[in-house]
Formats: sequence, structure tokens, C-alpha cells
Amino acid sequence: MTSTDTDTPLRSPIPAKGRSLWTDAWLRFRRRKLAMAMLWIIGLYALLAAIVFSGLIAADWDQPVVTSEFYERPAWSRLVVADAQGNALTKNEQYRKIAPELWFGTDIFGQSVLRKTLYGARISLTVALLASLLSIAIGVPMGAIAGYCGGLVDEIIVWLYSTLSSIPGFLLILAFAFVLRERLPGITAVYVALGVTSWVGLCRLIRGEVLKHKNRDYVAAAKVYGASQSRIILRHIVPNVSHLILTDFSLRFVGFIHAEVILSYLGLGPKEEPSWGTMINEAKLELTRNPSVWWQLAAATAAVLFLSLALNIAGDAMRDALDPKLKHVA
Amino acid sequence: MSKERPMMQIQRLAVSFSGESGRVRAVNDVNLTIYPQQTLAVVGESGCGKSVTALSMLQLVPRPPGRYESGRIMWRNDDDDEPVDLLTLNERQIRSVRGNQIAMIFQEPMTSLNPVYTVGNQILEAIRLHQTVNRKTAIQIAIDALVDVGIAAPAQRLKEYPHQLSGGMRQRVMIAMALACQPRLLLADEPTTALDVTIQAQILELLRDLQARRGMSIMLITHDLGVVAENADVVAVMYAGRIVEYGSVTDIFSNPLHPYTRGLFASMPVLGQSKHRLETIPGNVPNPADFPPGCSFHPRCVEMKDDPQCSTENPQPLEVEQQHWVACWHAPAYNDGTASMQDSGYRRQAEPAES
Repeated sequence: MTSTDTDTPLRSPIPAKGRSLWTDAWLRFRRRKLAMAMLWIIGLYALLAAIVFSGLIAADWDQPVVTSEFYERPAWSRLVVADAQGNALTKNEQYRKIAPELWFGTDIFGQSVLRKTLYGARISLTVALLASLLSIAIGVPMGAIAGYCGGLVDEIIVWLYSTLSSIPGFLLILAFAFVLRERLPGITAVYVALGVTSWVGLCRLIRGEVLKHKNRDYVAAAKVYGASQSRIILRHIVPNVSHLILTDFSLRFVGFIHAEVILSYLGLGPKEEPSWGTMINEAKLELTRNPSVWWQLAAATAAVLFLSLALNIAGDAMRDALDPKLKHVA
Repeated sequence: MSKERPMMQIQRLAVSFSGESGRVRAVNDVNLTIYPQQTLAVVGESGCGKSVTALSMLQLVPRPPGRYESGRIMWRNDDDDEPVDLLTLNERQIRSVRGNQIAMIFQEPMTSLNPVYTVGNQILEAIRLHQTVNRKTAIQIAIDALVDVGIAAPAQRLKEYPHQLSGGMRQRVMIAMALACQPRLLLADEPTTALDVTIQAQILELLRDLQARRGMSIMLITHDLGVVAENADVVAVMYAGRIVEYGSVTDIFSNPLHPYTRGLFASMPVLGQSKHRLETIPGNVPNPADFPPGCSFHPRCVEMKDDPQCSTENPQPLEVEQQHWVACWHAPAYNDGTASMQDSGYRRQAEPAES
């Protein structure tokens, strides 16, 4: 019957297949060279952590790699200039002779700093990832329920997070970590302490967004065709705020890496295994020696620095890419 | 199938909202009747309670701040069913009515579709909420629904996202979504207000066409009298939460009895007539928190402003002519005792037989 849409001729004939908002955002993100490079760095860290997890490298971090001397300097600062026969070596050969585990020197027990740094990636990334997931798992549902249901439920949740956020953040984390380390094994205490104390910001963010979205027409439309409340929250509203969860995640992740370092520095970190934080903690004694031992500190700091830099830049680019208002800026 | 029994009867519906200045009545004493295959137009200015009336039918008035003060909305999905009061259904029961028996479309097609899902995804969701069909069948139903609303290349449109469609297309998709489960009543809340005039005409034609083919009823909420004239069988004019005039479209258009209705007609531009200014109804819509005593229209009423009865007593809609209710002390035959109170049940029989 009906005349087949007058609007068809006006439409561009090109878009054959629908592009989702996520695809769109990804295409925008990909245009940023620097952000892409940072994404590769993050990927590299993740890959290293995964390999360490599988036990292929750095599993023997606790074995001394030298017997002669504590605090072996990073190998590239004292190259061997001649081989056993006394023949002079070219620079290239000199570098090649260095055993990789000695690249960053050793600590007081003769353990390889490189191995410890690699192993530390495992701890730091695990802690940051699990703590982030935990705080998302608490913050998003709480925020969504508070925002959507309103009323008494909202008041209780707001009261809860206001109370929690009125306690100075780090003291709260410390208190939790202190209590939990008696009960939970290893790094579990660390990420649980971080996770359960830091969902407030995300919860507040999600609550605000859900408040905004629940009055949108598409929610009304979903109600009208008979969708239940839980379906509306989970299938309609949460996907519309999920980009916020992702950007928040990237920034939160950095925060957790730092928090783990600080907790470890304060002696509340993992006890048996090296992490970047425990390495820096050890370094505070090493620096006071004469001559001072700086390489453990340098390795751990560099590891934290590059990862947080990459996460920050990539997270920033991601936020821009996901914001439709900035579509034409990048 | 009998057309004589009403499918929906709204009886003395009153809805209030709590606001800063206390409880206000958004809808007061509204009686409406909808018969199968009938189009009821509800006309009125913004805030007169027409949307709230429609939302009440699906229990979609946000509570709080809203509250159903009184009244019943009797609904009969099948001619043989006993009528049920929609206001007393629990959440689960009303959900199985929404979209399935009574569907609704909105004013803003641009924002009524969820931007993160494809069109197909959303139509499928609407279908599978009410029908236990597998994905393949559901896709077929969705394609059929899109064909029904005149969308070309439906299989491909299903894969598109809302931002790729124009406003008219989106409203068609909304209609397809609303009608995918074959509802018996469609609530159309200003379905064309946000669209271009040419697209408006197409959408209205589409609604008429679908109504004829499917035999559903439509409650058309609008403030556009042109739309009413072309589409409605029965018209209810609302002012300040009450129905002030109610009758067949011919009666209302040829013989408007309430001064407000007459004012609405007077303020319409007439094609071919050159006029410097359009007529207006003096004054503003009263604030719901502060309705004037008596007839709520009396401060703006140009005809009988000084009558003390108008400013003290609120007139109820009475049937002053066959099938024509009006709530005005000065309507002919209103005060002479022949007009009956009745329940404003618009009776089918008086209508000219259709199709």
C-alpha cells in the first residue's frame, strides 16, 4: 500500500550494514596513533603477566642468579670487555654476552631484579584487575538500583556510600587491608580491601546516569511493550552507560596499581611474593647504602610508570572516542 | 464479532500528583468508552491530562508522585472475556497487557528507540516478551511487521541502528514494534507532532490503513484538530483534567457546544481565508495546583463570564443531545432538565455503520 518512504532517496546509499556505537568508537579510537601505541604497551604488559602466570618465565625469581656478590649492578653498566681467551670483544658481542637475568642487576639475595619485576607485573595486574572488577561488581548494580528504583532504596544506598566516602579513603583501605590480611591468603586481602572500599565513585556516577536515562523515551517504550524492571535496567539502561564503566575502569585500574604499590610499601602488600610495591619498599633501605643501590627502585618505578602512562593516555583517548559530542574533534 | 460491547470503559478516573504545592489533580472524573475498531481522539492543550489518561491505562503513571485517586478502567481483551479493571492488576499481569493487548506509541520517535541496539534487536525483544517463538519465527514476524508499516528492504533495516533512520522511519519502526504482537488497542500519544507535515500525513494514513486491516481500536491523543477531523470517530475534548465535551466527530465539528471547543475551532487557520491574526482564547491554562472554583474554564470564557453559577459550581458533562455530552451551564438544553447525567458511555449504535 503505502508509498515506499519518501525519505529513502534522501538517504545516502552507502551504509549497507549498521555500525554500532561501539564500532564507531573503535574506529575513532584507531585514528589516534599515540593511543594505539599505548594500547600495544598495555597489551604487552598483559601478555607478560599472562606468560608469568603460565610459569614459563620468572617462575624461578627466588633463585639467586649470582653467588659471588649481593647487589650485582645492572649488567650493562659493567660489560665484560674480553672473553676467556683474552680477545677483545666488539660492543655487540659484549652486549650479547650478558645473561638476561642480570640486565637489571640483583637484589641483596642475588635474585634477578628483572625476574622480580616481571613477576611483579603478575601481582600488580592481578590486584588491579580483580579490585576493579570487584568495585564494578559492587558499584554498578548498587548505582543502577539506586538510580532506577529511587525512594527508600535510593536513600539507603546513598546513605551507605556517603558514609563510606566520608571516611578518609586511604585510612579505610589500610584498615580493611589490615583486618583482611589475617583472614585472606596472599594478594586476596589486597584486592578485596581495594575493591570494597572504592566502588563509591563509580556507584555515584552510575546512579546519576541511570537517573538521567530512566526518563528517556526508549525506557518508556520498553515499559510499554511489557519489559520488566530488571530487563529495563540490565538490557536497556546499563548498556547505555557501559561506556562510562569502561572509561572509569581504565582510570581506576591505574589507581589500583598505585594503591597496591603504596600498600606494599607500607608492608600490607603480598608477603611472600615480589610486587612492584614490595620492590620499592625494599629499595628504601637499599638507597641509604653506600654506594646506593638504585636499580631495584628504578626497575619497579619504570614498570609502574609506563603502565600508568599507557593506561592514562589510552583511557583518555577512549573517553573521547566514546563521547559522541566529540565525534568530529579527533 | 460484536461491535456493540465496549472494549474499554474508563469510569470516573481521577489521578493526582504530589508537587511542591501539595497534591494536584491531573485527571478528574474522566469517563471514556472505546469500542472495537473505533478511533477515539482526545484533544486538549498541554497539561490537560490527556497523556496521563492514556498512561493510566497501562499503569505507567509514575507512582510516586502520581496516585490513582478513584475510578476504574475496565478492559475486555476478547469480546467474550469478563472485563478486568486494569488499575487493580499486579505488575506481572499488567506487563502481559502492555504491548500485547494494549500498545502505545509516543511523540518522539527520535529518542524512543534504544541507541545501542539494532532495530531488529528491539522488535525481536518486543515480540519474544509476549510470544514463545524461536528466533527464526520472530525474525519473520518482525520482517512482516516492517513490511506492514511500509518500510522497504525490511530484512536489511533490521540490522540498522536507530541513528541511521530518519524520523519518519523511526516512527514507522515504533509502530511496527507496537503492533508486532497484534494488540487490540493502540494508544497513540501525539504520534505525528515531532514529524514534518508530509511525513505526518503518511503516518496517519498508515495508522488508518493498519486499523482497517487489523480491526484494532486507536486512542489518538493530539492537539491538532486537523488530525482529529481526518482520523477520529469519536472526540473527547479535555480541559484542566476534565472532559468538557464528548461526542461523535461530526457532532463536535458541526455543532461544538462548549465555549472552549468553539475557541479551539476559532483559533484554527482556515485555508484560503485571509486574516491578519488568528483568534486566540484569552488567558492561560490554569495551574493545576490552583484551579479556579466552579467551571475551571470560566475565567477565560468569553461567552458567559459574569454568571455567578459558572464561578461557583462545576458543571458535569451531560448528554444534551443524542450522543453528545457537554459540561457547560450555558449549553443549550443543559439546564432544562432534559439532559441526562449518564456515564458518558458513548454508545455504538448511533454511529453510522462502517465498512
